[in-house]
Amino acid sequence: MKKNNIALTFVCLAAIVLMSMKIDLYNCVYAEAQPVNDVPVFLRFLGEGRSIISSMSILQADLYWHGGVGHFFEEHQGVGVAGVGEDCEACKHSDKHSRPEVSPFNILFRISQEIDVTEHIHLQDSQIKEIVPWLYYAAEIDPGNIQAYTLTGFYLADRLGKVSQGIAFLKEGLRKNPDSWEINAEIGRIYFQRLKDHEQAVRFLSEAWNLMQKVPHDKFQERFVLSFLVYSYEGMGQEKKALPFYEYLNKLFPNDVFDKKIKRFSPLK
Amino acid sequence: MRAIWAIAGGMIKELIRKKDFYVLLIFMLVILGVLSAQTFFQIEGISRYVRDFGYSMVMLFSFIISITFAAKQIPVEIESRTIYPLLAKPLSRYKIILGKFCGSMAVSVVSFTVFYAIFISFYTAGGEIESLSLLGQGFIFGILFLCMTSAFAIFLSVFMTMAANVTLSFLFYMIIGGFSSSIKEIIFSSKGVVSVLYGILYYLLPHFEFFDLRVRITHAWDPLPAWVVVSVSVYTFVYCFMLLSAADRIFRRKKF
Amino acid sequence: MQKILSAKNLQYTYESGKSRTEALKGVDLSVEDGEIFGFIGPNGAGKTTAIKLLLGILTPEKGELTLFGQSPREPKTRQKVGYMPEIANYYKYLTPVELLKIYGNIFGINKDLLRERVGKLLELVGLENEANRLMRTFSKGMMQKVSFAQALINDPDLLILDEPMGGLDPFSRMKMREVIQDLKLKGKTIFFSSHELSEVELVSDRIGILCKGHLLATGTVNDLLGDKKAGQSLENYFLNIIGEKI
Repeated sequence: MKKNNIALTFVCLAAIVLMSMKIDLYNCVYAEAQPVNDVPVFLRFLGEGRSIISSMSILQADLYWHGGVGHFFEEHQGVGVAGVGEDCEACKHSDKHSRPEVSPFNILFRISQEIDVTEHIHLQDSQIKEIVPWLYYAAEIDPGNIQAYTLTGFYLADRLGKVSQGIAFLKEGLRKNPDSWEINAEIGRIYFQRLKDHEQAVRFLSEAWNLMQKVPHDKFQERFVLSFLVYSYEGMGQEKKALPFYEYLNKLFPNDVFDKKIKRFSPLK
Repeated sequence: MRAIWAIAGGMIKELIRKKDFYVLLIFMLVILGVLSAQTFFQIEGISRYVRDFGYSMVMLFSFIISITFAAKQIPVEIESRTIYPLLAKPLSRYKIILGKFCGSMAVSVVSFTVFYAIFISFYTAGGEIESLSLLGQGFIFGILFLCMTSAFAIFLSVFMTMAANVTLSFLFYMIIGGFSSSIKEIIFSSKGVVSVLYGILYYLLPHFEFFDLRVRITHAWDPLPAWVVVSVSVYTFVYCFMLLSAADRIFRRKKF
Repeated sequence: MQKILSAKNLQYTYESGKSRTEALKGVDLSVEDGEIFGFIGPNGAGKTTAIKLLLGILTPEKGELTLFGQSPREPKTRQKVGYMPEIANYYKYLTPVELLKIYGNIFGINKDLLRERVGKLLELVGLENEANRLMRTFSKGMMQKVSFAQALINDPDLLILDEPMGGLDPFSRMKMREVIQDLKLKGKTIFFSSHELSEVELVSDRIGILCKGHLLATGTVNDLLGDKKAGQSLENYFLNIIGEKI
């Protein structure tokens, strides 16, 4: 009986040790696969919850973009929008329709309607900076959240005039997500559109194009990358290199512009 | 009246001597300090998210103080038997309830005023004040909110344990505060008898969401019209009166 | 002599779900002005229930109960009553001075008079050096002293003490006995319950023995022991009488 107990104890111990090793191995593999090297320790404790919080932070940025009001009505009514303080007919129209008709005696509903802000606005000019903290935190909390980097890059470079900061932040994102075609494409776009640095634009957009071949994507995403790539090649005077991409784009979205370009550059072949 | 304030005065001393308030105060100062010191891409004047966090903390912390103080008054008095010397004094039961309510209110108002003052100081440090009257409304609505939560917790405290009371109050706060628009949508989308039932429920539930001016203050929307402020004040007083009357009725019948 | 306390056929039953516990089964009792009435009985006899009824904390199910000719449920009746509970538990985040001031304010005592009375009471119970110390640091005995002081804050005509000697050291007991005798000399009426039969015997003018909701005997110590054989103690009498009942 005693021998049996000892044997059983040994078997249990061995099983625990083996299981621990297996779990540890799994954790190591999982940790290596996650871009968490720069994540503060306390955030690592959140585990998968980080991506949820990060997404919520982006939603919060969207809420701020609409002056703190959920844009439910925009999605459902498809009417125009106004900036804060703008006297906009469309805005009033939206506001009026977002409220159900309530009897004047239904006092609690009326109070509630007055307190709720339902007007539809978008932040204007310098006010846009207010969304930046949420985008920044979204990226900080979950460095794997590509959208957080691309959105931050877009708002910094295109809306707030902080081009160099936008590019630096995107490059930081690229360091943490080296396989992201989206970040490469966004950096390339900013180099092309904001800095007219066609060489750098081509470098990042070409990388984006190569990377996107490895992952599922749609033709609109291809158009986004390739259209900036071809214009960058053109900017560098390398129309010959742009030609195959124009041909590819024309297959995806046949139109006059691509057609004309193809005809113009074909002799260079 | 002197007896009621005597009971309330004891609760203020409890607030001053217990650590709860100071912990929340330090926590708020640290969080707001860190948030205000944070810079993003050398952009100056980002203030809305500090306001957002600040106002939310003011309301949440005041709510915590209000609920925990109000919820424990009667159950803890019964449990520790301090209720007996109190009941033996020349006090009618409604005065005890009123004293506990006034005490909870006093504690909540003191805490709220301190928290709100800190919030305002961070607000002004972050940039110009868009609307003084909106901030004034925020203060009035905060006081009304705490009036409501104190009355609600005092009502529950005459027949519930402190833990159950705090849990239920938090649930109400979160559900009503977070899903008020969904509740309204459900009522509007329902028809017939169900709609009437939902309507009754809507009128009976405490409308904590009325007092939340977070979006208005954070995003500098226009202040509320005066009739809304008056209506919400009247609503709060009527609701509190009903809750305290019900609490008094139950407390009178309670056997100790 | 004027009757301060009068109870006729006092009955009270605790109900919890389907179970009913008759705590008092028709108690007749009266306490006269200026006397010390000792209320004794074993655990569960109904002493505390009787005291709760006297204080208006509970309402009698049947019977009549008056204090100073009025119902104890009326708050103004309790204006002249001081009460010291069995378990001395007070707000631990307050000092004795603050507690006494709160209770004094409830009684509506004038500010100057209250300040003066608080000082005197704390001196009386020997807590003058601990007057501004938070009560969370107090021992059971010290709390008992605070409890006694708060019972006297309104200079009551009737003092109801529930187990006043519990938790006190022999010296403090002696002191409290002296205070009780002093209060009697000042014309106060004292109603107190206790397990300590020797204490009751020492200070009481009259005694009431309660057992299982019945008042088995009332009278002076001499009345109660007089018809028994000489040399019998109150303890023996008490054990005999409740033994018969049990």
